[in-house]
Amino acid sequence: MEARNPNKRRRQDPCASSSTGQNQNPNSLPSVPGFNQNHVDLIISSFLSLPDLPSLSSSLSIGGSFDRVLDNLFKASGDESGEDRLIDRGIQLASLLHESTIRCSLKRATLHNSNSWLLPPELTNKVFSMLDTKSLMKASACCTMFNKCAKDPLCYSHIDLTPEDVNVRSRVVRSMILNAGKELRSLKVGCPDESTKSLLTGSCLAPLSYQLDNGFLGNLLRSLHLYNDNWLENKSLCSVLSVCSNLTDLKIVGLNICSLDKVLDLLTRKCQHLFLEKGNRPGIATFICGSSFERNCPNITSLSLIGFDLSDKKAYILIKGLRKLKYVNLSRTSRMKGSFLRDMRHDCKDSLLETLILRDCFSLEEIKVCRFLDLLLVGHFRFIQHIDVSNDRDGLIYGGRRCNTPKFPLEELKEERPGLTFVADFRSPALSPVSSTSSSSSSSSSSSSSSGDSSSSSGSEEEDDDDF
Amino acid sequence: MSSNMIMLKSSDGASFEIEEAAARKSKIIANMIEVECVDEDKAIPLQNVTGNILALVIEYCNKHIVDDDDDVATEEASEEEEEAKKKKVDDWEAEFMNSMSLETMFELLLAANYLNIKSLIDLVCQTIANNIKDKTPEEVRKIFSIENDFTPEEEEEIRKENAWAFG
Repeated sequence: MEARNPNKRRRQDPCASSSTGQNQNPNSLPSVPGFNQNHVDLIISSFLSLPDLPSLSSSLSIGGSFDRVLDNLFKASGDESGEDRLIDRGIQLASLLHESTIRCSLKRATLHNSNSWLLPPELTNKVFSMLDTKSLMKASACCTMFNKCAKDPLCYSHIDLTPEDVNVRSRVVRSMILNAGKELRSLKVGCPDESTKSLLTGSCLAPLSYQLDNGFLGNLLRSLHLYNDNWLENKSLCSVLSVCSNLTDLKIVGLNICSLDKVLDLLTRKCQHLFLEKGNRPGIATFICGSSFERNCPNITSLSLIGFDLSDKKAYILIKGLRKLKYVNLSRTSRMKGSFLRDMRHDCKDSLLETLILRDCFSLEEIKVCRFLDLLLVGHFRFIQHIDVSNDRDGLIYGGRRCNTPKFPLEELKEERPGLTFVADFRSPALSPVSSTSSSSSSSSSSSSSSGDSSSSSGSEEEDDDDF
Repeated sequence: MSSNMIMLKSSDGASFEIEEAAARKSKIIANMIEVECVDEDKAIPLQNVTGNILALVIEYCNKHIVDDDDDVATEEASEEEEEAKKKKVDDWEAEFMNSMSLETMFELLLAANYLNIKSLIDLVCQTIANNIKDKTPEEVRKIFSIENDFTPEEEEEIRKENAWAFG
């Protein structure tokens, strides 16, 4: 005991100077007269190297030493302000030691991580660039190294926020677009599930209009998918599209716009895949008046216009004008009778068309479909492999009435066009047909050409089922 | 395609004989061959690749050189044959990667990067990415033996910023 106390006392001087130093900017330490940094380091080092004493609760323990030393210092300080300083200093030193220890242990963890994860940053970036956006966010919360690598613009080339859209706010979308910067290539926002309400607002796409060295940020986008739940006003949508002049792939679900031309006129020659589906906001009659869309976008290979008020004439002009079309989906076009199918025999017989989907087109007439199938039988449309004219209203129109016993030339089709899948699945609205139909058509379209026979005959079986 | 054989020597002194066509999968070795700094009977020393990893690299290159040859021979193969072949390669790659520990994967990726074999870099990166995909930070840490080196404040901030991803 006697030996310990003077020991501590001797430490007092440098401690005092160190604490004045600590109160100031650490850089100013060397200017304190008589201060010796090495001395301080030495004292702290020997303090930390004190061996664990036999029993922590005994008066021989380090805790006991602290108590004694502080008691003595209190007595020696004389007045209250001296005691206050002592208390402050004790607490301050303790917390400095605490912080230093934590910093050390984090540094050790960082070092450990660089030994377990052997990849240099450029390879880590490459791995991260293959993650979906949500997984990337989770990975970035693993450790500081991952967090740093997950900030690389390359990781944000393909932003997909659709699966978790419910929780995504506009701020997140904006910051991701800015993270991507020059690497931005594709963007998917909104909520594909119509039953949930998105937290987004149109302003989340504002960064696409930011200027880069040569043009807008949006110019970098090749693919844009928007699932709209009324969060995107038509005005914002149009200003977004006007700065995305290099899109090859555009998909908008839930489009509530009076004239489709407003959207179509903003597309360019580069566009190859277009998917537009009308929103269900009531009272909006969407139609296409004559636009020069088919001349502006001659490279479209895949076209889906779902739920719009498209006339037969317009459908004909589109399919005739877009020479590279392979996939056409005009489902839920209620006005269309199907005369465009008949008209196509003149100009479109060499068409590259592979897939034609006309589901739930409630004015579609059986005779027009049959005429089209006749064209197939004489060898027109030689690339076509999949046709779907199903609906859930119990059949196509025949002689002004709905008829669920259609007379399609199925046997001949099987003979002449063995690779073709023809789906004509008619259910009454009461039954829920969608899932069974889509599974039957998807399974048959994925099967090889030899089994195409069975699938087209399976289509006929389904119709037989409906007969009974 | 000539069936010249060349020798590769790993950092730990193991020698491997490999068809030139397969070795050319590595841009680095292809360049060496182009500028004729490959001596017929002298092995190319690869300082950064150990024998067991080099064996894997060669296995990969051999497998893929066969496929490339097939492509040339049957240029008019039907789409379905192409698809079947692609599936076969995919299956082989899946099996190849499946048999590997994460540590080996890292070493293989570093070797592929050093030798500049783009398709192998992509394959391994994708496999590592699959190990991270859809996992919580805690799970990822466990898989790769990574320690949390954030201060509590930093971690809180990161989680708050991306709260949507942790929902």
